[in-house]
Amino acid sequence: MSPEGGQGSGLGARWLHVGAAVAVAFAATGFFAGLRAPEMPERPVASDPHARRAERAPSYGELREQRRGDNARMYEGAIESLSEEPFPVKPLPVATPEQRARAVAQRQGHRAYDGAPPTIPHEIDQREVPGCLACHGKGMTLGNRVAPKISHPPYQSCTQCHVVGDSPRPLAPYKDIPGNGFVGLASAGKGERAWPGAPPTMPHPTLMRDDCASCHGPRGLPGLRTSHPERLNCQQCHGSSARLDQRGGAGGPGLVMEARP
Amino acid sequence: MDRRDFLKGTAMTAATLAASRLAYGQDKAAGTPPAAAPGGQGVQWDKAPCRFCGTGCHVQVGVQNGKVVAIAGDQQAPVNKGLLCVKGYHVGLALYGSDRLTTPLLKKGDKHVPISWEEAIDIVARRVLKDPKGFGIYGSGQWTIPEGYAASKFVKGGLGSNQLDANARLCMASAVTGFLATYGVDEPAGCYDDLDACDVLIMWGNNPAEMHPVLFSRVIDRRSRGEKVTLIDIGTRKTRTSGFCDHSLRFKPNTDLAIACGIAHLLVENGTYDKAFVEANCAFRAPSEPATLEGKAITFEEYRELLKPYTPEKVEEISGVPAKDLRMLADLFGRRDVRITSLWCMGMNQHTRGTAINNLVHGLHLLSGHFGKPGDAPTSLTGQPSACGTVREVGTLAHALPGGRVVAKAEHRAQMEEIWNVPKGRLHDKPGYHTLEMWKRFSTPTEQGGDIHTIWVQVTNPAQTLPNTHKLVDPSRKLADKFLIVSDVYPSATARIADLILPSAMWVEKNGMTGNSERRTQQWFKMVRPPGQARDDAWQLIAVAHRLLALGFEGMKDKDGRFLFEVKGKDGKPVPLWDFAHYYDVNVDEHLFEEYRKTTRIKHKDLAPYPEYVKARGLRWPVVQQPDGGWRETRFRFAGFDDPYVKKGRDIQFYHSTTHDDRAQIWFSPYEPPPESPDTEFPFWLCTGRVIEHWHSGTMTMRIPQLQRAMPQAYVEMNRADARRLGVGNGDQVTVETRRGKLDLPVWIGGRGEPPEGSLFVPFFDERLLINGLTLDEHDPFSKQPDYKKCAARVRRRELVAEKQG
Amino acid sequence: MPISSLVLTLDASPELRASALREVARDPRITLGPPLEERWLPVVTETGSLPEGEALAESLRDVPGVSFVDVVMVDFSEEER
Repeated sequence: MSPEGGQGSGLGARWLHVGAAVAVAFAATGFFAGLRAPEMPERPVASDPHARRAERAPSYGELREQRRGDNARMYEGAIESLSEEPFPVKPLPVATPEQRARAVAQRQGHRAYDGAPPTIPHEIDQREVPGCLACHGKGMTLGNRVAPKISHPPYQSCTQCHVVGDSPRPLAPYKDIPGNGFVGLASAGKGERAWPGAPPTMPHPTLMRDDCASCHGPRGLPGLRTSHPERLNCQQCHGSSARLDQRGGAGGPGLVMEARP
Repeated sequence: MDRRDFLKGTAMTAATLAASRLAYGQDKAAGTPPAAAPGGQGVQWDKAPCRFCGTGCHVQVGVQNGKVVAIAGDQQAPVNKGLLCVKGYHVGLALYGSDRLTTPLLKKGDKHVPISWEEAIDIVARRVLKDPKGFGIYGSGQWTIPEGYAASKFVKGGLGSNQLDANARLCMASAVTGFLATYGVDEPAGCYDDLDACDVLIMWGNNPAEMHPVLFSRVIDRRSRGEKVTLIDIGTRKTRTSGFCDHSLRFKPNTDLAIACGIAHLLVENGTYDKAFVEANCAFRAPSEPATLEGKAITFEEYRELLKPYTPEKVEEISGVPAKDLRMLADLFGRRDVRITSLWCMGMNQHTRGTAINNLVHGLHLLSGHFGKPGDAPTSLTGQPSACGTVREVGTLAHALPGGRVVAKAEHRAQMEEIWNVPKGRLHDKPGYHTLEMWKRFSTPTEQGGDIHTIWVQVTNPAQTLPNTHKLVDPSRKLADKFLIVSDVYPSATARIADLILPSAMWVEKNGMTGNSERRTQQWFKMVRPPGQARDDAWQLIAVAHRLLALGFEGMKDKDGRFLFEVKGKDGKPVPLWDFAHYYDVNVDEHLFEEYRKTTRIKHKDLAPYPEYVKARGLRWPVVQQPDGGWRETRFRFAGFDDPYVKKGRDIQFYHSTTHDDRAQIWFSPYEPPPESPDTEFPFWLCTGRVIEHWHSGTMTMRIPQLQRAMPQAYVEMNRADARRLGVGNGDQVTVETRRGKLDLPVWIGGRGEPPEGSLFVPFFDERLLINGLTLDEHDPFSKQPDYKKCAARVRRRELVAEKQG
Repeated sequence: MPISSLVLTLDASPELRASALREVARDPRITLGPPLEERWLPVVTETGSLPEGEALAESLRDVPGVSFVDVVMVDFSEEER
């Protein structure tokens, strides 16, 4: 960077530096922490529950070299173990209405309407054939970060329907872009029950959502998880909707209304 | 703010970002969650083709309380089988941008002020009366079929002039001339079913992974089912499509002609061309002096002689494609046991040799017999939803009349005078101005030959999409007697410079019909009300026509003195369509379509009655009535097993042959250098195009938050090596400059595409970064289609330019 | 004046968290950011020298209620001059 550069360009350059430093820091820690074998000899035997707190704080040098503590444990273990489902599958607590509302709201953050393809909440390679299935193929859990399992049969070109939710660097959005008054269809929340205790029907189409475990399995959002993940044949008890699934009666035209004049 | 505060602020940003990663496991989602309509119940669903590209997917539109609230892929649609692309899934949001135009606006001084529709229609009518011959309508491949037909009837039947052209001139014209020169009739013989059956898919200057994603998926998803399909990308830049391809060949811009000639040369020299097919169905052609679309007949020996210079080594030298890859392509074409489909779109059409390269690729398929069987087809794709249906079939072009007729033929004019019931001689025999000429004349002072005084633009955005806008658009805005009328839904780049803005209804705010790339005619009904006083484009045309009638303009009467657009209601009385309150008393679309349908038979593009399209997810013409009264569509034209117009017992019949002997023409056209190539002053190639998120000029998609966020602005894509040489990195501002204009853009390296060294790519969707001030207005001699894909440019770091100026 | 970004991961118990916050806020060399989910606290430290910065970060580890200290970024630019 030219030292003669004015304050403005100097600041810009500084931002770049800082941005790069942050990116490198994340990449490096993630990379090393992910690759390194667990450093067992370093870890004191946890016989005393207070032993960890009593541990000497590591120096800057040590911090650069190794990771300790809860955050470090996020990455422990080989990558492959991340996509393993918890086994044996155990019943989960029944979701509360609050949990469900929170989960529905969280889903809306990535969707224009219920049923829209979600946007991607992380950066992607903009050109190459997407490697999305490496994490989303079977699903993966990384600490509190979940890569949900793909909810539909895998198509080859993921970026056909899913775009990043935020501007890809180095592009930036205009500040004064016109708004949009579209109000998207909300999730129905829950299906209908014929009587209290009856299994609810599916409140959404099964098109593109035919792998129930993607959202309702143990890795789903807390409000959406099934209480009985051990049962695998979902449609045995939960009916889908012919209307939502565009299954018209008697060769009819599906969802299409009667032809108007 | 001093440096210390700044550093601290930066450090806090970084810390907060890191904390949020730890807390949420990711960056906090940008923006606030969208508001949501209360769930599931009371949603009415109905079918409509997607508003955007020429693929023609069908969507299911969910409407609740008079608003579109959801979109789903239509599982019964043969085109997309329930799948959409990201634009399609968000198409419903295109209606609800916060700056929709809701009232007519007239420019007074430098402001647009609201006026009544009454006044607006009167202003348009009086501009016509000023001089009907100098009143041009510039329409669109986004016009619905009935809208385009109404415009054609208005200009050609009503005004008795031919000053009507459409933006498809800029995207499909060379495909049309290619089909005409080869087969004698427009539009692809094959259809999308070829994509399910081909063993090899060759994409010529085509990036369907971004531009026709649903069709691209239709091919590559076959791999998921264990099928083998070989994908070959022949292009000037590495794209998303390239990554999926088995072979990815880079050629120097404009040398695709040499490649096609090189393949033909090998087929002929190796004797691997399909002798039986050629003998039965083909003849040979070469350019004539003077150049005509028909060219001159040549013998096979002459053809072979003309191809002689195009040895693999010579073609490698011209194009940069290795000789071994040319041999690989020739070997594939030479095999009878594989099915080959070619796809192309703007790469071959936006080309100063567009007609020639279209002819050559058709020629390769004919020469090798890869034609007329499922999976064996040369297929040109369209970019707009009704470029085929409206512009090519209805014929909203300066030289054309509905149903494949041309104004130059007395017989064709007479047929249309009869159908329109107008006096003999009403239709004018001289073609009007093609798009570039129309806009050039609009931008030329009247006294210097600028004889177009008014242009009425509907459903398109020429101030952003015409090439070399500094020459073709800008001057008109400084000429006091030139008047620009724009019908649009948003304040587009064109609307903002217009003298009169008419607010339009869009997509499911009106009835409509479109025709996609595979000859499929589709229909939908109005589902929601347009905002404010926005009204249908067809209504606007009919209302102006009626005002002209009221002002005593004879042209808007038929020869029995009735209004040209008269529609009778159930009571037998004319419905006052010009009063918008009564416009939907009848289905105007159905009336216009049924009238148009009568014109479609002479070129065997038969259409079914309107109610058939209501029932179907589109039907591919010719749609022919069966003995049982049902209607049958045609998938493979000219093929005996499917096309009812092929004589019984024949495998193939080109029944519209230019030589009237049922033969298609295999063309030879030489490679020639382009009109502008990089030189020492302007050392880069500049190519323009699209990205998956945005459609056309971005007027709709830039107002859809999900799409706008994913691709927020235009950029210049360049090769890493060039960037290093220029000393620029990702995000740096550079100035891109051609002989016609310059533009500051951020650099994106390793982004969506990767151009080879010495070339640049800039998308055209961004109305704030208008790349078409830089592009070339040179055009193909036959199709008059300009070349947006190559011109010479230079790039500099923006600071350096500033320093020089300072 | 080296400036560093850190993230403090606070204890799960609200009492310990509050005491940690009070303790950390007392140090004038430390600027606190808004805590995320109440548990992850971005802070910026500004010290006279690098060793002082290191010592400060280490001392934060010992504050009751601070479970972990993540070093996000250290500014070395002063040394370049």
